[in-house]
Amino acid sequence: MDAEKLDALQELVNLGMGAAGAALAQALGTFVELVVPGVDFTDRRSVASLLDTGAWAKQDVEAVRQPFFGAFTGETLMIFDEQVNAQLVDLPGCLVTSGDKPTTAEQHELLLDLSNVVVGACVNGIAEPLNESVSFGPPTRLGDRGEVRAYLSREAVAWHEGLIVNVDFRLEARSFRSRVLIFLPEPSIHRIDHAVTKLLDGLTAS
Amino acid sequence: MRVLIVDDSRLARMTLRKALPPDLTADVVEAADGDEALRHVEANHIDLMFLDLTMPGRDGYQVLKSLQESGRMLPTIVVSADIQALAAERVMKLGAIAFVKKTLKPTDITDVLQRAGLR
Repeated sequence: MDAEKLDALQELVNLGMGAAGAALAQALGTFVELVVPGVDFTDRRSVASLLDTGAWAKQDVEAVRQPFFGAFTGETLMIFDEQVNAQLVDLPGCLVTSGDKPTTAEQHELLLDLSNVVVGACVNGIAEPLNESVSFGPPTRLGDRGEVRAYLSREAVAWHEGLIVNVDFRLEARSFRSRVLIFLPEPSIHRIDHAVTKLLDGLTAS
Repeated sequence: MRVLIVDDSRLARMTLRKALPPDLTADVVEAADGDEALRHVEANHIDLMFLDLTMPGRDGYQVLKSLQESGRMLPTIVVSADIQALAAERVMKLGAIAFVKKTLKPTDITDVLQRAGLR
C-alpha cells in the first residue's frame, strides 16, 4: 500500500476516532484530547517485539483482544499501559456500584468497554466510508505481559501483516498510553486496498 | 475570493475541495499543517479558511490562537473529526465563525457560509 493510500486510511481512522472521542467524553464525563492516529503496516516479527520497545518495555500492561468478521476478517488488540486502571477509577462516568472504589471485576469490565468503543470506531471508521460492514465478536482480556507476549507470538493467529494504529489518549488532566493493533490477513488487506483505490479514484475523477 | 484549506490529510483536502461551491473553487490554496497555514496567511490575502483541528505539530487550536494574538484573524470554519461539544465551544472562543463535522457535503458549506453572513 503506497503513501497516498495509507494517508487515506489514516484519515478514515481519524474520523472514526473523532466519533469514539465524543462517545468516550460522554461516557467518562471528561474532555478527550485527540491526537492524529498513526497508521502503518508491519510484519509479525516487529509486532512480537513491541513489548520490548520504548515505554512499553518498562511497564506492566493490560490488553483486550477482539475478533471481527464480515467484509474484512481480522482481530484487534488494544494495549494499555499500567497507568490505565489508576487513571480511570475516579472518573465521574466510571460507574461504580459497590462502594468508593471499583472492584477488580468492574475495572476489567471498564477496560473491555473502553476497548470495544475505540476498536469499534477504528474498524468501522475504515469499513463504513468504503461501504463495507463488519461485525464484532466478544472482547477478551489479556491480563499481563506474559499473556500479551504469548498472544503476539502465537502462530495460531491467522494474519500475515498487521495494520498498526497508534492511538494516544489524553483525557483532560490525566493520561495513559494505549495502542490499537489491527491484524489483517492478506485477503482483507487486498480488499481494503481495492476499496481505498476506488475511493481515491472517485475523488480525483471530475 | 481566495480559500485556504488546512488539513494534514490529503484525502481530507481533496474531499473538501470537491465539496466547495463552484464559485469558491477558482482560487484555492492548501496547507498540510498549522505552520504552513500561518505562512500562507502572512504571505497572501486569504478570504476564507477551512481548518482541521487534529494535526501533528501546530494543531487547529494553536493556529487560531496565533491568529488571534497577532491580530490576523480571518473568517475561519473549523472542519473537525473531533465532535465533542467542548471542542466546538473552544474554537468559537478562539474566533472561528463556525464548527462543522467532517465529512462535509456541498450543502453543508453553503449553509454555513449563509449562517456566517458570507453569502
